[in-house]
Amino acid sequence: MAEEVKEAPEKLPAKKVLANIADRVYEDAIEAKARGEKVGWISSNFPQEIPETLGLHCVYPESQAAAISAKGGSLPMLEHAEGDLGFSNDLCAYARISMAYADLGKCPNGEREMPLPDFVLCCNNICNCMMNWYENIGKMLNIPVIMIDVPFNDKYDVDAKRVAYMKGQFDNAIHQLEEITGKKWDEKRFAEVCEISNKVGEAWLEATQYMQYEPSPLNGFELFNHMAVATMARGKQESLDGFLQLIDEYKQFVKEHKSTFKVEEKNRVMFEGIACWPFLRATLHPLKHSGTNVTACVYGPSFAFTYGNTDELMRAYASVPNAINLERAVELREELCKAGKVNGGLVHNNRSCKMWSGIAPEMARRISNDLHIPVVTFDGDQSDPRNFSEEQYNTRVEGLLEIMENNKKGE
Amino acid sequence: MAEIKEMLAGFAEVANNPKAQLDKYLAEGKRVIGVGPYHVPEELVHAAGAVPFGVWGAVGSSDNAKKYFPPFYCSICQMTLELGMTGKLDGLSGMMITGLCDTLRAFSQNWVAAMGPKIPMIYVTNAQNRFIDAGRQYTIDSYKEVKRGVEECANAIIENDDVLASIKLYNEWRAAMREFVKLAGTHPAEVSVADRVAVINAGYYELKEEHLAQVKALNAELAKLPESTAGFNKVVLSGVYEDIPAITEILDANKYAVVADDLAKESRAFSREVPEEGCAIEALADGWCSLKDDPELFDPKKAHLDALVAKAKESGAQGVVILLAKFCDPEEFEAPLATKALREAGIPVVTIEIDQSTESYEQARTQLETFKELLA
Repeated sequence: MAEEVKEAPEKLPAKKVLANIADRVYEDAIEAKARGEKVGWISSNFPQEIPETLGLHCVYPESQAAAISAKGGSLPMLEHAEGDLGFSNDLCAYARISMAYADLGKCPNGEREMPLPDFVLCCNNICNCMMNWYENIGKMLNIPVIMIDVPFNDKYDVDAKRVAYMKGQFDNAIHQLEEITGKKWDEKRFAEVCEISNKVGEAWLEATQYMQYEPSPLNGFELFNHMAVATMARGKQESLDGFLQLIDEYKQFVKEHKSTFKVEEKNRVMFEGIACWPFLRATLHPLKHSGTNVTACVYGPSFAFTYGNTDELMRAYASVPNAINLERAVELREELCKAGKVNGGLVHNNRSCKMWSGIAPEMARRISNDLHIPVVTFDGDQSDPRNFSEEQYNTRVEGLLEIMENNKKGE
Repeated sequence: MAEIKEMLAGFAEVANNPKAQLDKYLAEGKRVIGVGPYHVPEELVHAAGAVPFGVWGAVGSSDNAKKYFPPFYCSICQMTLELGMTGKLDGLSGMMITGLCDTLRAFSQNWVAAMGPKIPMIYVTNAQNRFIDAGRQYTIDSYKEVKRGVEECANAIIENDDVLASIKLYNEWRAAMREFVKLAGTHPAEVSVADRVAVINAGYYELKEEHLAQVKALNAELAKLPESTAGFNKVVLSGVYEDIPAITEILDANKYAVVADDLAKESRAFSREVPEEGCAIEALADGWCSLKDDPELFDPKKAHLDALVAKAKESGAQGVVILLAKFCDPEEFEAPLATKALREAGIPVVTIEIDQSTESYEQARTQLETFKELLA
């Protein structure tokens, strides 16, 4: 009898591996909830080291809202938040979708289901709107709200008083979670989680830096997909494996002079702001059509939390883009622009995001002046399809392209 | 009654001419420091011998500030920057700005970008997690920095006893303001909604010892009179501010009496009690940490909702008018929950959108006319 030869399973591309990791976060939380475990909703820049160490399953309303929006399901939820629940359409569309989901417990067409929470973990380093949003979820579902407050830093550096305040809150959050869930904090496990989280942060940052090669081995819009893992699974070994595979694929592409940006790269731009999830294709199309690739984006460093000790961990979480002052915010973008060798910038004037859009005009002016590149803005929204005009977007991109072309000609 | 009218006219004169107040203090050789929204430890400015000068925007249109802000932005921030950029705040030695909400955070950066060293910013950062020791300590450390900033802008050294004396004065003033709010609510025939706003707003442009003396005198006269609420529609106002002339005119025209308020610029700002002994900086931090029932501050159990219902009941209000400041995240998150809580308690409620740059309030007029009939 001939020995059966088993074919090695076909290796999934990193893109698929990463998508599966993101899916698994939701599935694990759904299963945990079904087992009777307490699960949480958590903001994207909350120190995930805390729930990961405690072995808690948490899901991310921001990522959920983005996924729902990208799949075209945001409008009915926004209408529910505004009509049935009475919230103003001025509010962040992620928050409106999230409050609608808390009320309905499901998506219109199953776009991205997740369990309702038994507690919420809020961190306002990304925006203070998060505080009001999570308070409302807490009230609507009658569950505890745990917050780590990161006061906006008007200075360049993160000072000692901020670190001490965050450490105090870190301990308080652990204590609250132990009481709510019955789980116990384990310093050894915390050290392991920190170690893997650092490696994931470094790998994510390295992967995003491949866009700086010329030509870039990736379509810059891909980061919008991969960042789900950087957001939701920073403390997991499989995330590290996924990002390392992604790095290998990018390396190979550089060697082979290939790219997932399937047209000739003629221009390189910075994309600033959250993606217009309902219009990913529409926002990519005129760029791709003209050979304009995104090679600088703040999403790389945004989720690359690296640190050597607890104080540095606090500093890392206090240094996310929307928690830093204008000088540091501009510097961060300019470094990315230089490394990405961009010749223009595209800034999303995102109606949902007051913090980001509130400093975007001055940031765009400074980047343009300092780097001598054209930077144009367009009006849009991360999730509300009513706040985006494809015509305006195309016109703005055309204008940007024209200036970039003229600059190339030396006009 | 004539005396009361005369007093009210005096408040209106100050409230309607902030620039004249600023110029007056500057002419007296005083340093004046702007105080933005909100819960700012302005006792430090007073203790430095300078004049704290409230700056909460102004009714008007934002033109220059549009360079910095997108259109979907809180008008207080837009209009304050507009005032600064158009020279209407010239003479201020500093501007105190907090980071309590996203728009204030961005505003702080735009203020520095637009105004530079002309009117330096004194950034006031507070702990939202103010119920734990780490939050108290953060606020103490922050207020030490604020003190230094005020000293630099006011050319002064602030001594502990001077701050304690200012705290004592401010506590007395806040108590007098709370008393005035009650008396204005029970005497709407003597104190119209517009008068009430003027008395409160004058406090933002006057030294507190001056304002306190005037308010105490007014309170004493009002206390002598019998209540005059008959025929008025008694309401609580909730939100950030009410000082839009068109809104106060509509409220007065429809015989509304503000029997209590839950406004950031009014009663929420007068609510704090600060210890009057020991380390003054710690006392100010304790004052901050004791604040509660405020949608702008971390409120994990949404205690503000119960407090609002209780305020409406205890004040004898027939209903609540939510003056919803456009593009104010904390208030826009709160309003639907407040509406639900009030309705469940059987208290009528109406929400009116307001903005310092809105030109027409005819829809608000219709809403308030209809609401009046509902209350009747």
